[in-house]
Amino acid sequence: MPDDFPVDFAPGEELLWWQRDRMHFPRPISPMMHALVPTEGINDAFKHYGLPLRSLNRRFNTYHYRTTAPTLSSPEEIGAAQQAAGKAVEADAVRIGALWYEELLPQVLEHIAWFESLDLEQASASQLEQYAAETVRRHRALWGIHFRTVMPTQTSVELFEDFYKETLEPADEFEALSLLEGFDNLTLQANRQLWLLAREAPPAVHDVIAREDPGRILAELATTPGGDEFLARFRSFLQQFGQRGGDQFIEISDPYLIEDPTPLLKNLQDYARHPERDWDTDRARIATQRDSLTAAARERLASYPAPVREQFETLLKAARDAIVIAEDHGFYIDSMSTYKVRQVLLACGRHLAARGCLKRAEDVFMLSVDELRAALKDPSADCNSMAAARHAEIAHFANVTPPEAIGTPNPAARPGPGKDRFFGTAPEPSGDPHLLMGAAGSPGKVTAKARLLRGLSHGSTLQPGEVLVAETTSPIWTPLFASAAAVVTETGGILSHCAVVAREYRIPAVVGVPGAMTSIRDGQMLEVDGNAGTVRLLEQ
Amino acid sequence: MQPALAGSPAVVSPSVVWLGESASSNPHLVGGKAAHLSRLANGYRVPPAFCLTTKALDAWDATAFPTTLADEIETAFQRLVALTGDENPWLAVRSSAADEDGDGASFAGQLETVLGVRGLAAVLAAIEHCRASATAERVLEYRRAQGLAGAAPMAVLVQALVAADVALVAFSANPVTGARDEVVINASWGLGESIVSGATTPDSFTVRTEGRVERRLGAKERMTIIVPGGTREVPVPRTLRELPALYDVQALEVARLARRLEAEKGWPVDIECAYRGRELYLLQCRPITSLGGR
Repeated sequence: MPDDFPVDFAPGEELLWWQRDRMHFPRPISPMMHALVPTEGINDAFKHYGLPLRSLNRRFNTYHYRTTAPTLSSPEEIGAAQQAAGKAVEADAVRIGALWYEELLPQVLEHIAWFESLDLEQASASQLEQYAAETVRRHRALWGIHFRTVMPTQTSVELFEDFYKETLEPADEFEALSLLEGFDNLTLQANRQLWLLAREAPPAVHDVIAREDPGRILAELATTPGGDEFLARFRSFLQQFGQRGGDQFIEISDPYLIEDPTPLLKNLQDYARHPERDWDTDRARIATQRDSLTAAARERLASYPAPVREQFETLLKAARDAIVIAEDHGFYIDSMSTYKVRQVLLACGRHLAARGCLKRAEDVFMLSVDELRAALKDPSADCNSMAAARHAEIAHFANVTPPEAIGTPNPAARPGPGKDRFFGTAPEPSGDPHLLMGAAGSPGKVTAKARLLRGLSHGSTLQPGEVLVAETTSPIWTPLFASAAAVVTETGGILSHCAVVAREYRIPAVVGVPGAMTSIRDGQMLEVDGNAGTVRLLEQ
Repeated sequence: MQPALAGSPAVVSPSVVWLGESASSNPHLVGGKAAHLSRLANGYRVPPAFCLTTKALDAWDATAFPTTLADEIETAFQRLVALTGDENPWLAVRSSAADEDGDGASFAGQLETVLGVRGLAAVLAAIEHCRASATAERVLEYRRAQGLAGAAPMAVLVQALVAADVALVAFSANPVTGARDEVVINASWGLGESIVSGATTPDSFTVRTEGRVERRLGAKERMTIIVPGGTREVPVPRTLRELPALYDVQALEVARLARRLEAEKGWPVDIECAYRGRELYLLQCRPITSLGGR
């Protein structure tokens, strides 16, 4: 264990292999986020499918670590259970559209509706405490739905890819995926709406957007002719698409776009400065390419047995649904529902702050759920020093590089192959310090300047035509893909959000490049090869 | 040229005859292979076919296709297409030698068959190819060794080629144990070539007289599909390897067919069939050459 990262394991913990999830939790997490990490949701999904696994998580020195342990002991039992579970996941995977749209999405929307029915402003302490309890229950249910969705969606795409490779022997690994592109999902719809806002802005408004510093655009528009109407449309956009997180996927203590729309204003500015880019035309082109590749595949399969052709159609439909649902479920669960949870917690925080139990409402994220509920029930509770200490702890460990994994190494304790294509696997180093290895995420080769973005708030430093380099990119980073020449991330595999959306934007992507943020210098020239999955560092 | 009236009875001509017609049961006219199939076509669903007779090919002088023959072939081709119900069906063009015996075994591999034939031009080319094969040096050599004089009198069969979803071979008695109350079926995806060549491990079904179906899944790792000019062997996707190639009700249907043929012939039969959609086609029927266990 490094000196700056001391860990006090509870008995038995040191025997497990605790790993970080840098895609979803790249930074220190708040105590509230830790309390809400959806481990129970994962386990509910494992149980639902009969997977003999149990997920555990810990917060070591403010960082999230996770491990997966078997629930059976003999390898034969584990093997048999995994096989049966695999079949169960496959059965859902081939009907993922029906599963999501008819069964799971209605449940998600019911939860959202419950949150929206709450009158948080007028709630008393005891009502807030009840809301908090119910919030935690529904949060767990929503994340059970989340994992019952993502497990089959990844399988849907894999089943189609395997089938395609086995019957059509494609030239590269992107060919099968090309048949799945060009369909709308909520992430892309949000990006399109933003583009439309910029495109339809009257000249005076357009000028302000293109010219002003993103942080000053809204203020400036209030005094611009046509600005009021634009602001109304923008607010409506925020209501519909702004309940999405900050930099990271689900850190509940960060402001959401609807609370701080600066990243969106930067995106709006990019769109305004590049009126030559036509979203609809670009999307139509992708759809045309997809349709012609699909027709070619059908042509080749024309003399195959009918059951083979029927399988192709079933798996194609399931995979197409899965790509959309993989983004949409995140929109509703990862983003929107977590925003709703955040609002309930902030209401609790405001109440406690008014009482002097906390200094500010936002300090509520320094408490765990149990601590919050206890404080709501006890009018004399004072959590100020606890909150301050935890803030300090986070500030301290934000400057410490946490180990990738701690405990007792267990290479066998890895998620199945489906997860590898989402999270990525560690590539073999090239041996050449100028050649970084990763996974092919989106095809194409480009030579351009690197721009390291440590957070979305730094998005304004990305110039059009540069390579976006980041640790991870959640869906709300994706409007930047319209300007970037390519994207490189440290996390992810070919089915990660980053790779899937990069393909929709037709920019090369190399994902899962360990150490990209430290090996690449800001401003350095790079050759990014999205087919080979490599990043070559060129001399300045 | 005779007008081609779709659906009208075939015009009887010494050049072109149809499977199932009485003229086609004459091996001197249509060759052993076609005569045998024609007898089967009377009463069983055999893929439709017309035959270019030995007379027509005899009359064919060395180089070009005689015009009248080409016209008759075109008429027959159009009728065959109409019979298949397909707009652009796959066809097989097979040599049928007049001194072959019924199952053609003695000439296996000597005379040409062209699969994956589509369209009139390809049919004409395939017929030429088969005709040329009759005079190929190796064939003449083989015939001399058998004590047969000169080139074989030859006919050519143009038959609908079933783009099989499932192909199977069935025995109306257990070929290993000799048990007469069992029909044993080997079935796999695609055309029967993969089963016959051993390239694939088919599913195995045993149907007992009382109607019980026992099933053993095979690996079914490869299948044969039709391509222009022939066939190709391709891998079977995993999800289909794990699926039985036949429903039980299909195994029962095949067993009924095999028993019916056995009853008609008077001996246990070894049959080749193909399913396309719901239709079961009979492609070949032979006696079981050796029955074990007795």
